[in-house]
Amino acid sequence: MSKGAIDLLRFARRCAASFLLVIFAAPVLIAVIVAFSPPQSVFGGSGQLVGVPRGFTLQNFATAWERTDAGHSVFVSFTLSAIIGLLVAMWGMAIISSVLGLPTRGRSSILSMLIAVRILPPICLCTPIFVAGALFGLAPATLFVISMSVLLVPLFSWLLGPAVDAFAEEWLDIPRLFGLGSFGSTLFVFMPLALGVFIMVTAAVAVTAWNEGFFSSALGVQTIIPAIPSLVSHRGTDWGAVMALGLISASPGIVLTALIGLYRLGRD
Amino acid sequence: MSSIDVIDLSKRFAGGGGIGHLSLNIPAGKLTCLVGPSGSGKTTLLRVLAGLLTPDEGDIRSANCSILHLGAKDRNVSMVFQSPRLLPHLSVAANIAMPLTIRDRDFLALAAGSVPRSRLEHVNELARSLRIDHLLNRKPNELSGGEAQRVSLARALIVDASLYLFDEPLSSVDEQQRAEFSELLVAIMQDVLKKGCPVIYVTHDLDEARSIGDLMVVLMDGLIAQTGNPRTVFECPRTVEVAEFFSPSGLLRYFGTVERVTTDRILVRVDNFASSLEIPTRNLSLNVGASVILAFRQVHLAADQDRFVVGSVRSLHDLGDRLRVRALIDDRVMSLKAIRSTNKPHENLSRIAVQPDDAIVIPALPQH
Repeated sequence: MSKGAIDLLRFARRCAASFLLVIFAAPVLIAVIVAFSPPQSVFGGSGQLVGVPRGFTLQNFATAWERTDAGHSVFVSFTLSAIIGLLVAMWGMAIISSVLGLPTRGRSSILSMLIAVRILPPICLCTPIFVAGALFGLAPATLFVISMSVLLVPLFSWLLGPAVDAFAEEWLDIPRLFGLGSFGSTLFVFMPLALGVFIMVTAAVAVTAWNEGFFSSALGVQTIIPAIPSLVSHRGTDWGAVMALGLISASPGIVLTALIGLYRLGRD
Repeated sequence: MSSIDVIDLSKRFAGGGGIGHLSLNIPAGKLTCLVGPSGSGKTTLLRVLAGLLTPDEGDIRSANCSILHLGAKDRNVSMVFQSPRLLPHLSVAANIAMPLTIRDRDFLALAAGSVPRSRLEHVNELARSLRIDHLLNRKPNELSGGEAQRVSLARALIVDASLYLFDEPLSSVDEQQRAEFSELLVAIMQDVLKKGCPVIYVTHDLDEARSIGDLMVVLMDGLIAQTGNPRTVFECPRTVEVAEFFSPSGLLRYFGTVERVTTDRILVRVDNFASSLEIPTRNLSLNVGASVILAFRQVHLAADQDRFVVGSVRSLHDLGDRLRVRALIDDRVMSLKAIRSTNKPHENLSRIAVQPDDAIVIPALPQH
């Protein structure tokens, strides 16, 4: 891989990070505001803005709980999140570190990003996509495929970032010095070094996919994201309940992040 | 093996730095030491020579033929980088053999991380000579800094190159192993030089560069500030910047005028001193009336001479052959290790003086 390609990849990563920041930050803020506002006080049934939030209520959480069997869903989601979090924390980083010999900064970045992947997609990407899709009558499985596709490209660029940043120019220069071209360097130097990251990204996306979609189809239990369309009907969407459900779905990830963060702080 | 001619070579970067219009002869069978402050363009020059960077302009010639159009591989250059940069997924043996594996186009071995059987003996032999044969089956993350740099040395030496570049190989070696590694490195470079190859060694260790180099090139801000025999460059720097670079502890500078020139000495009048200073010329050609800068290294200041006093002693500790002095010099308080030039008890020493024989004479205006 030439230096130009690496620079391009770094640029793509920065673009992807900016894109993800914008696409994640705004919905998170809106979700928090709407989830704690009285029902239908911010958004009307068809999504139009009807007012500014006034007051604080937990009514949306109660509605979401009653209408979507959220207790069961939270349990399932939490269990799976715990498994993912533990796998990442205990095994994933060890594998990446030993394969790549990454500096601490690279390891921390990858860990943070993998955790972010677990927290952010349900609330920020899947939720709006599922709601928008349900309004057009699309089935959860289709919506799931769309949301995963939208996620994959920026995610791959983003997650590969630390590996690319930790990639020293000399690792490419040395083989070049002895006659290895760009393709050879990519194949025999870059790919083996980035293998751990590729595996981790693939595993994270696969587990997220299982967690958010295939799990419910295969075992007949309703996890939170596929439950969102049940809050959408021909009479309109209960946005407060949708956002409350989004927050509930993100909460296991947030708890895990806090725990792993404490663990890491203790270690560092 | 032939010498390398660098002709008017430039490589500038958008963010600043690089090299500009360098012309230089790198002789075959000689050790060229490249020194200069950080960011002066040393590594850039090496990378351009190796074919890893394309210069903006200029030429590189070997045996009177331009090699600029040749790729890194075809220039037959080997290089040791500042940090070892061993490929972490390959064993030490596979890392050492990598240049040969690539040159043999044995991509199966490269992908598998194995050493081709035909090359095994060569790798073992080299590893034995560098005392790393016990590490061959280890992975790079199981090595210390010194061991990893030895492996990177082996990787550079496994090919018979026409030009060897050593880019501060000691910088990644920890203090305890540095002396031993340095000794090994010098022995290796001497072996390479015996084959008649040009060798460029970038180092921050000026004493080492002075003692082992055949030619010293001082780079500053991407330009060659001075070249020549290391001893001459050290003793007769042509500019104040070069003099300061070779005097990390500091310099005292005085403007003067040449009053008289003899075969091997010049008499310089400096307003700060009552009498003129008689200074060795050190092959510097100067005319009467020429303006010069006299520079004195702080390590050459002497405690308590009667002549050429530059400051007064504030406090003083006896270190045996030297004195640790806090002195007021040119209205500044300086800490320095002065030479003891008298047998007086150190409590009675009160003055700091320069010694004319140690003066560095730098022409104040360019000599035409």
